[in-house]
Amino acid sequence: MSNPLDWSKYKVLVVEDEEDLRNILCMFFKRRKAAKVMSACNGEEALKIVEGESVDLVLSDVRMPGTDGVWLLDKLRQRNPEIPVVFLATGFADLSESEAKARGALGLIPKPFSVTVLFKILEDTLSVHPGLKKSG
Amino acid sequence: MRKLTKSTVLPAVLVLGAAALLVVRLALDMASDLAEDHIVQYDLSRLDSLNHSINEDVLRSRSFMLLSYDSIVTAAEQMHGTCKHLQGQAHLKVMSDSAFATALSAYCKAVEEKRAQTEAFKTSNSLFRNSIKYLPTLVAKYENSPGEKAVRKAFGEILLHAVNSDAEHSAQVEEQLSALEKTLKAHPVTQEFVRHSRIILEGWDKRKKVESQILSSDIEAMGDKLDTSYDDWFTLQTEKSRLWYGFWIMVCAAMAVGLVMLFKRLQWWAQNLEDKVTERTEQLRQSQQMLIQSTKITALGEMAGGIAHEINTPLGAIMLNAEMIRELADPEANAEMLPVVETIIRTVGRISKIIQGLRRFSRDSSNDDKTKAMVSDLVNETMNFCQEKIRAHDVTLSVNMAVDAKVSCVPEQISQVILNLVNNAYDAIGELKEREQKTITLETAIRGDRVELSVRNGGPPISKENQARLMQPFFTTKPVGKGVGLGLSISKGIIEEHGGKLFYDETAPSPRFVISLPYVAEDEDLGGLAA
Repeated sequence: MSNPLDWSKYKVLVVEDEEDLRNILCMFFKRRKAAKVMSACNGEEALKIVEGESVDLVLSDVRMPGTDGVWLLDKLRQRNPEIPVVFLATGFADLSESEAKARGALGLIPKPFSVTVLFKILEDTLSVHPGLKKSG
Repeated sequence: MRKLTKSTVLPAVLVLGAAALLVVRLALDMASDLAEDHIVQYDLSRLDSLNHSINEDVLRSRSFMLLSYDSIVTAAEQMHGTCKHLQGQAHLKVMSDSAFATALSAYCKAVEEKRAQTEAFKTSNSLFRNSIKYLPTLVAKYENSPGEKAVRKAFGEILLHAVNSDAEHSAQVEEQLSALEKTLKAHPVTQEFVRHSRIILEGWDKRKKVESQILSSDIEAMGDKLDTSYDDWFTLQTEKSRLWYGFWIMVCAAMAVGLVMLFKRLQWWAQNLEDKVTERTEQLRQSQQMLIQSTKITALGEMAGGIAHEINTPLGAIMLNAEMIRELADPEANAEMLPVVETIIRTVGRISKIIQGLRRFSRDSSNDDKTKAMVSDLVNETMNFCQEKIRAHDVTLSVNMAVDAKVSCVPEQISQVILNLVNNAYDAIGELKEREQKTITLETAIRGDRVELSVRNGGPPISKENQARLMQPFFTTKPVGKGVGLGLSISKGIIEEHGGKLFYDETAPSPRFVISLPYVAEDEDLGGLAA
């Protein structure tokens, strides 16, 4: 569809309470040479990072203990509305894709997903996102 | 039921008893009427015969053939007694104002008169007879006396008068007697002779008068009238009595029949009520079972949701880690390892699909919006969820998507219908022994503006009787606990809500159910019609 995204222009924040999934996601972004890969295990922690650092993409789980993905999205929409947020969801009692988009997220990827699907969705989403045309 | 039987049978028995009593009463009354009728008839004929006997005796007495008048008096007495007897008859008393009563009263009065006449007849005849017997003795006393000739002449005239008298002759005899009375005044028996002679003269007239009174009496005509009026009355009375009893017997019989019918009706109602209670109880039991089933399904859904959430995240971790291994591996150095990694990735994909299928059936999709979905996707997702069970039981499953189309639907609901049809097919053939019968085939076809998905099994066809009831709620041929008979009726409702039809194909040689849905013929998706 489009040329592979140049991840070196993106600072990515992975928000996921499940450590194994969080680590492997970070590992994939590092292997795709993202400018910076940061991680948090809940919304509050993620918000602190966003406040101290510029972030180009937030990939966040919806359901997390304490402050969840929806909470994080709402805060970001208030403070940094330009930061793109993509949700990861298990599909049960979580948000639906249309609900997520209505709240301001760019997309929703149902778990479990293959890495091919993940990056395809992210690249498709970011390539059409206004103001974030970092791809070549 | 027992109470009901007692409460209705008892009155029926009582009414029938009353009818039987009436019949007996009628028979007794008729017998009694006949007995009384016999007595009356006897009395009437006796009166007639006594009357004749009196008249005969009176006529016989004319020629002195009758030695005694007692028979006449006795017969008159008997007539009087019979009249009294008749008037005393109980059943005749009730008819005091009838024609018969009047006739009887007149008749008895006439009998009374006749009785007095016979008395008078007897008295006058006795005197007459006595004088005739005594006169020769008195005549003998004139023997050799001067008046002998005149006395004998007068005696002769008197005897002649006694045999054949008339008024003229009587006057002549009276003249002779007056003359004798004067001329033979001195003779000691003249007075006596004249007195007895006059008794004969007058007695004859008196006797004639009474006799004619007795004989001319119209008692006979009155008797005939009495007979006729009695016969009329008796016939009428018998008719009335029969009609009256007949009426009551009919009433009783009608009541008994009515009660029996009422009893039958009540029995029918009771039976009907019992059937209804049984039916309702069965429905209630099925509703309860359905509720339990539904509660189970809801609980299962919630549980499945929880499990899926818990599993999906670590599953995602496995998937990504495996993919990382694939990325890191050297295709040559790790040639043996890479297929293993692929297996892991594929297996995770399968688990993921199963969980996704589970999600379809655990969620309440009734308020979901319709989306467009390919029939083949709906079938494949559903089959992912149940094909393991089917294949594990040696059932051959064939999915033949010769044509495909997009339908506007709530995918979860259509999947539910497909699963229901496949499960029914599986239940129908799962236990069969013949291998060629153990098949389930899913096929698609296009008919006009509709796409058809059929589910067919190799089992024996469904009977005509069961075919008619297939789509009815709570109809099931499955054993208790295996099905509540709601699957097809719910499925039918779902398909109809989608503007389609769910039906049993009667023309197919083996059981075949067809889902027919309108396909979406818009934009480029139309191209999907032909696979």
